[in-house]
Amino acid sequence: MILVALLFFSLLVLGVPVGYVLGLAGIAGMVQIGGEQFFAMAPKRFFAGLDLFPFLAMPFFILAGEIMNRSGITHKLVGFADALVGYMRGGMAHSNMVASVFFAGITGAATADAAAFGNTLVPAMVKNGYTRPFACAVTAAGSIIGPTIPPSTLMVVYGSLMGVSIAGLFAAGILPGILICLLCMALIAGFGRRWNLPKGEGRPSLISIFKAFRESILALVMPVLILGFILGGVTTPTEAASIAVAYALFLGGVVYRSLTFRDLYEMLARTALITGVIFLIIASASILGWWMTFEQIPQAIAAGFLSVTENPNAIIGMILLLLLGIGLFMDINAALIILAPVLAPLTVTIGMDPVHAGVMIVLALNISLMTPPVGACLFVLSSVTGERIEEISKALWPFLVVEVGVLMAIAFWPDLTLFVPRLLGL
Amino acid sequence: MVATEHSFARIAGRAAAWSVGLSKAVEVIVVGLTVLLVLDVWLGVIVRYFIDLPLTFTEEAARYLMIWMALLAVSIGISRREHIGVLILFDRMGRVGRHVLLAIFDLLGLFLFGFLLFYGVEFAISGLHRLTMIYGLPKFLPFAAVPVSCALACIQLILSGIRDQAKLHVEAGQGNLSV
Repeated sequence: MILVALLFFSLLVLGVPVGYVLGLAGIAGMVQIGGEQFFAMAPKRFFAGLDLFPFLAMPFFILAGEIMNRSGITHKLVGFADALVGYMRGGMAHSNMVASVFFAGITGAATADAAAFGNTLVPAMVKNGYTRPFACAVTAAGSIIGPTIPPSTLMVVYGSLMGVSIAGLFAAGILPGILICLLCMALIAGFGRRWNLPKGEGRPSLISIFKAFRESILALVMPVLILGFILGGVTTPTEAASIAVAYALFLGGVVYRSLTFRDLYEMLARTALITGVIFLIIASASILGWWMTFEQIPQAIAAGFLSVTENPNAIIGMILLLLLGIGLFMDINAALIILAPVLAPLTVTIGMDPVHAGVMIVLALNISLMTPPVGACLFVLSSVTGERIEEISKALWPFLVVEVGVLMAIAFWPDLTLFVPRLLGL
Repeated sequence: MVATEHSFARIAGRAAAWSVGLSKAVEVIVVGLTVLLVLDVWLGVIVRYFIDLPLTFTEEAARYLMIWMALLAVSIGISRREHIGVLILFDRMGRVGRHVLLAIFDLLGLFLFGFLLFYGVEFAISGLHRLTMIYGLPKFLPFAAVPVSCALACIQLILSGIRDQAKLHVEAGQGNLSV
């Protein structure tokens, strides 16, 4: 067991793609428990790891997000957010946050948010007198709302892997996402007074708010449709995701007329590529997961945690530290696929609700999207704006503190997460 | 020396062209499968909620189309070096160090996909005598996604490996090598 763990961590540190590391460690585990008689198990697990219907929601949500993003919907959402909060001191930073919430309802991927706003809002904020690191920091902080508020591809992966209700996870992500937005806006308001951030052009009239609302209504309807179908028990998440694709195609192709066949081909190819990259990790993790189950590793890890302390709050704290620590160095999809099967049984042992545990794990990993050295949103923002990661990180830390605070609140106050699912009877 | 550089440049160019060609061909198939997948799930939604037709295969077909689509796309990811790794050490290496690491990654990838290809053929053949639950097709059809995608992954690993290692020699010969 120790040799397999050593191999796993050595290959990981060396930089070997995570999909390879998981498969190789799984094969090494098979060698360790008896060799050739188990080898035939590898392709079976590789296939079976993907043979789950709920996984289908992931490529569909990715495709719907790609189409909406390419349709020029970002400008309309930003326009509406600006009409709502743009008049305040630090108005563009507030708009960025509110637009992230709207955008979260259609993409579910933080990097899509970071790329879209990094290209549009960050230059506009800089032009209006904000420093570029601050504009990037606000965008990064808002981008993690994407995979927290439904639809969220991470929640689809977690729910599918661990057999937890995806509808329940989606419902449970709503309040934490809104809370992150509100607290970050409070922080921006504080900065606004202290740093004298630029102010908008005065409070907008109800007519101009309505006009901006009317222009973005078709985009704003999409998350309502998706969530309404899923949370109302009308469709499965996969079916809702396919409806989202149809709706996005209708908007991009018929209403806005901004999509070409070339665009469509590129978006389909990109969706397949992203799915392939994530599915290789899932399939290979299934090989390693088989060996881990055979060797009862999750139980051993749970026992290890419990031998340190049996206090549930202390164990939750240790889980959060582990997730935030791993998230510093590893892609969040990979971290989720590796750690969820290990940590989920532990959370059950200490009596956590599976939906509560799922949202906590997903949010902890989401936060690591904006922590150096491998925070994906930092990379995206740095590449689209040209700002150095170190400068963005310096401006980002107050937001990071706020978001870790939200994570703590979610972890130690289950009602905050479970209120909406209970309200909806999920 | 110049002749050696020239031949390395030719090898790198040819490997890159083959890698791109294969990647493009697989991409067309993958896009086609994704379109089929979308249409299949839409059909499932239509027959479930709007038109009462006895079509029960959509869910099964969707799972298998998704697996084929995603596994074939793995080889495209290899060709474009898109697969996710922890790159802290890699990013701190000089160009030679990076190429050594890339060679190690490719060899390890070749071992993994070669292993899965070898045992995957047996796995796919075992599906010839087993039928899918709803449609009653031989499970060979979905199972074959494993050896086929692993074979493509192996080919892409070889082509990408040759492309990148040969490129290193050319760059070294031109004096651009930052170690």
